[in-house]
Amino acid sequence: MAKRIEAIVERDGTLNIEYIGFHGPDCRSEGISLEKALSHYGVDASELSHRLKSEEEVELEIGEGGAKGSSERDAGYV
Amino acid sequence: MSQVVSYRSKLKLVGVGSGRGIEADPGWEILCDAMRVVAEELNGVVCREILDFFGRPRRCSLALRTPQFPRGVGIEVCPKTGWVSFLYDDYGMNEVDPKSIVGRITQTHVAFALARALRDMNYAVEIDESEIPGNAGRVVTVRGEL
Repeated sequence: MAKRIEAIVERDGTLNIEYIGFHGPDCRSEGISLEKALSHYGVDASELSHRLKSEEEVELEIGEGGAKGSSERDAGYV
Repeated sequence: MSQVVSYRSKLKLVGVGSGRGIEADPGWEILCDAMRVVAEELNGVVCREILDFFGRPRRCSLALRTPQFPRGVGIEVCPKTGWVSFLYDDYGMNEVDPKSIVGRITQTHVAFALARALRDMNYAVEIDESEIPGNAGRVVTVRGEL
């Protein structure tokens, strides 16, 4: 299975990243590499939350055309 | 099964904080690109100063002035830490929200930085943008595949 990363960038800079095809520690180490690479390009990213997405959720999204939610958070940098 | 991770992100030019000149920092190049793109989208201009309520100029590292907010939104980079901050004077301008411009710059910078970071990690990358109806901003999606 191909490894994919899908990220939604919100207006306040919040990143919601889905790691697809990564298993266990692979996801963690990819996340750490990505944070490091982002800091090189001027983005200081700190983890807010982390959850597993179940197969049922994935199936539901496929059924609904891939709709995803988003949330508002404080900008904190202005 | 996949894993979803949310990150709060802030703009920080690490090279500047560690003594490198601002223009040698790869994050600065991304920030300039983001400002140019947002300027095009909003019919604005990139410059080096903003105006306050009294029309007095204030110099910044980079600024964006648009027809909707001609006083402009400025960017300053702390030479000691590299943290990026936004400056504007919106006193008396109730109909314009400069935070929407700040948000657009931040969102564009983070999306560009993410695309560059993923390419460095050997991902094939694509970026999609779509405006939210009702002038409520836009959604930016960055996809990478190994």
